[in-house]
Amino acid sequence: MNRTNVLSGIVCFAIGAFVFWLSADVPSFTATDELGGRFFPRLISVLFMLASLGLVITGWMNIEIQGGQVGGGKGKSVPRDEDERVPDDEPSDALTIGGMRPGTLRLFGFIAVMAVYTMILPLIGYIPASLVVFAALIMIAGEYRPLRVLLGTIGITAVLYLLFAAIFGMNVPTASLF
Amino acid sequence: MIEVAAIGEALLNVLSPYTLFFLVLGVFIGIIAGILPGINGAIGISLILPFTFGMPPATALIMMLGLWGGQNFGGGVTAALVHAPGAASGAATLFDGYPMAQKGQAGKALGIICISSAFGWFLSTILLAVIALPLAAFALRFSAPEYFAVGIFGLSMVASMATKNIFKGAIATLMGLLIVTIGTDPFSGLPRFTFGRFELMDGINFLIVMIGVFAIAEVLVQAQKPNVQAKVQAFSRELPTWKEVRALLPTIFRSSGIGMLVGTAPGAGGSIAAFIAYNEAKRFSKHPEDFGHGSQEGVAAPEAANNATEGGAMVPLLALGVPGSGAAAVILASMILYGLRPGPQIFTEQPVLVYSLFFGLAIGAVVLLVLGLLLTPYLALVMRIPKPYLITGVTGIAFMAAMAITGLLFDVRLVLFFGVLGYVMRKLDFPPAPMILALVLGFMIETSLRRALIMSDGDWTVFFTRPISAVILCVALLSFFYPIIREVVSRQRAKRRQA
Repeated sequence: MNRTNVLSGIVCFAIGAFVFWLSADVPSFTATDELGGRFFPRLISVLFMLASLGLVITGWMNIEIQGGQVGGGKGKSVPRDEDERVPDDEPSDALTIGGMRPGTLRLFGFIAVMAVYTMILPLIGYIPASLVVFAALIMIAGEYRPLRVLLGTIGITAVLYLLFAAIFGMNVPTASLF
Repeated sequence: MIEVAAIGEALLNVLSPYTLFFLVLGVFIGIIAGILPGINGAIGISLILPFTFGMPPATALIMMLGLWGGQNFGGGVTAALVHAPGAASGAATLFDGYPMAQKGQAGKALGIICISSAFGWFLSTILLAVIALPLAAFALRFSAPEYFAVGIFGLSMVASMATKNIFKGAIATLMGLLIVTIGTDPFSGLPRFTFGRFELMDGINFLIVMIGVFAIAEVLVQAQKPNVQAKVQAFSRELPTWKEVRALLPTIFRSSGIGMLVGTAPGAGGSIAAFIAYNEAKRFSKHPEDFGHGSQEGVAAPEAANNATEGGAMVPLLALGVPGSGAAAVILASMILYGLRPGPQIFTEQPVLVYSLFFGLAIGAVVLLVLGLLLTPYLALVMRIPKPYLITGVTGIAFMAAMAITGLLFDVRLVLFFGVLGYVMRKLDFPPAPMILALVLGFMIETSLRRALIMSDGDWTVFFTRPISAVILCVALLSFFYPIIREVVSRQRAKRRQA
C-alpha cells in the first residue's frame, strides 16, 4: 500500500465533498441560464471526488499510473527545477530541536516569518517590516555573520524599494501604527 | 488575412528603442532566472508581470517572451557548469554539457548552448508565423461548444502528460477549476464561495496563485535544504569555431523541428522536447558513442529543441487561446489582463500586436545570441550568490509582486497560503502546472459550457453533433483515459505471461 497516496486521496475526497456541500448555497438556475451557478462547481467537485477515489484505490493496490500520450510511451515526468543532488534535509542523525530536523525547523521558520510579514506590513510600513523580516529570513537560511546579515538585509530592501516604489511608482504599505 | 500595413507598423514598433530596451532587459533577466536553480520561466514572468502594467501591451509581452527564451538558455548554462539544470528545460543538456566543461571546454559548451538556443528560437518563430495564421483562420468557425471542447482538450493533455500519477494530475487540474468558481458568477452576477468577503468578489487572481504555488513554494523547498553552495568549475573562454557550428547545423535544424512540434501540444514543455531531441540526435549521429562523454551534438540538440518549444507553444496560445505550458499560461493571462482576447479573433482585431509578437520573438533570438555570447565569461558568477540572500530576495520580489497586482493585503496573505499549498503539492508529487492551466482555462470552459447549453436549449448532444467539437472532445477523453487503459492491458499481459 502507498500510504501517502491513500491519505492524500482521502483528504482530497473530503475537500471535494465539502465543496459539494458548500455549493448548496449557490443559486441553482435563472430564467435565462438553465444550469445556473451551482452546476459547474458541483460537477467539478464530483469529478474531484472520483479522481480522489481513483488515487485511494490505486494507492491501496500500490499502483502508480503514469501520464502518457496516445501512441507514445509512458509520459516523462518533468524533472524538478532544483538541484536534485542536494538532499531535502540534513542527515537524520543531525542536531534536532524538539524532535524536528533542522530542515523542517527552517521550513516552519520561513512560513512563520512570512506570516508575521503579512501582519506587520500595514502596521509598521514596508521598509521597517522588510528590514526585520529579511534579516530573520537570511539568518534562518543559514547566514549568521552579523555584518553580512545587516548588509544583505539593507541591500535587498533598498534594491526592491528603489526599483519598484521609486522607479516603477508602486504604492507600498505605509505605517498605520505611528 | 495578412496585412502589409500592420506588418510595417509592427516592425517599426519592435525596432523602437523603447521596445528593444525592454526586450534586451527581458532576455537578460531570463538568462539570470534560468541560471538560478528553481526560478523557471513561469516564475520569472509572473514576478515581472505586475511591474509591466504601465507599458504598452506589445512591449510588455515582448519583454516576457524575451525572458522565456533567455530562461531556456540559462537553464542549459547551469547544467553544463554545475551538473544540475537551472531550469527543467536544461535537464538533458547536462549529459554532454557537463562532460565538455570537465574537459576544459566550458566556453565551447556555453557557446554551443547559446547558438543552438538562438537558432531553435528563431526557426520556431518562422514556423509559428506560417502555422498560426491558417490555424486561426480555421478556428474562426468555432463557437461556444468548440471552445468548451478546446478547453477540455488542453486540460486533458496537461493532466495526463505532465505527471507521474494521472490521478494526481487530474486532482490538480480540478482543484484549479474549483478555485475559478470562487467569486461572482459570470452569468447571474451572484456571489459564489465568497464567504462574505469583498476581496473575493472578483475571484482569486490566478497571478496570486501562481506566485504562491511557484515562487513561494520554491523558496520553502530551498529553505528546507541545507545551505550548500554549488561548486563552479574554472572554465576556458574559448568559443566554438565556425566549422564546429556548421557541423552542428543539421542537428540544430532537426531538433528545432522536434521542439516546435512538441511545443504545440499542451502540457509537453521544453524538458520533454529536449529529451526527445537528444535521443534523436544520438540515433542520427555518426558518433553515437560520444554521447554522454561531451558530444557537441548532445549539447546542441536539447538546447535547440527546448528553445523551439517557445514558438510551438505560441501556436495554440495565439490561434486558439489555449496555453501549452506554465510560462504560456502566464503570457495568456497577461494578455487577458491587458484587455486582449487571445484566440483566432486576435488576428483580425489586433494584427499589429500579433505581428509585433512575431518580430519580437525573431529579434529576441538575435538578442539572445549576442547577449549570450557576450555574457558567457561572466555567467558563472551568478551561481555564486549565496542561497540565504537569493531566497530572501525571491521572497521579497514575490511579496512585492503580490502587492503590485491589486494592492490588497488580503492577496499578500493569499500568496503565502498558496505557497504552502504549492509546497505540500510538490512534496506529495501533485503537479502544479495543470492547476495553473485550469485556472487560466476555467473561465472559458464554464462560460462556453453554459453558453452552448443556452444556445441549444439545454440539449447536451450539441457537443457531439457538431463535428469539430465532437472530434476534439473524443481526443481529449482518449488522451486522459489512454494511460489507464494502457496500464490495465499491460498488467493483463503480464498476468497471462506468468500463467
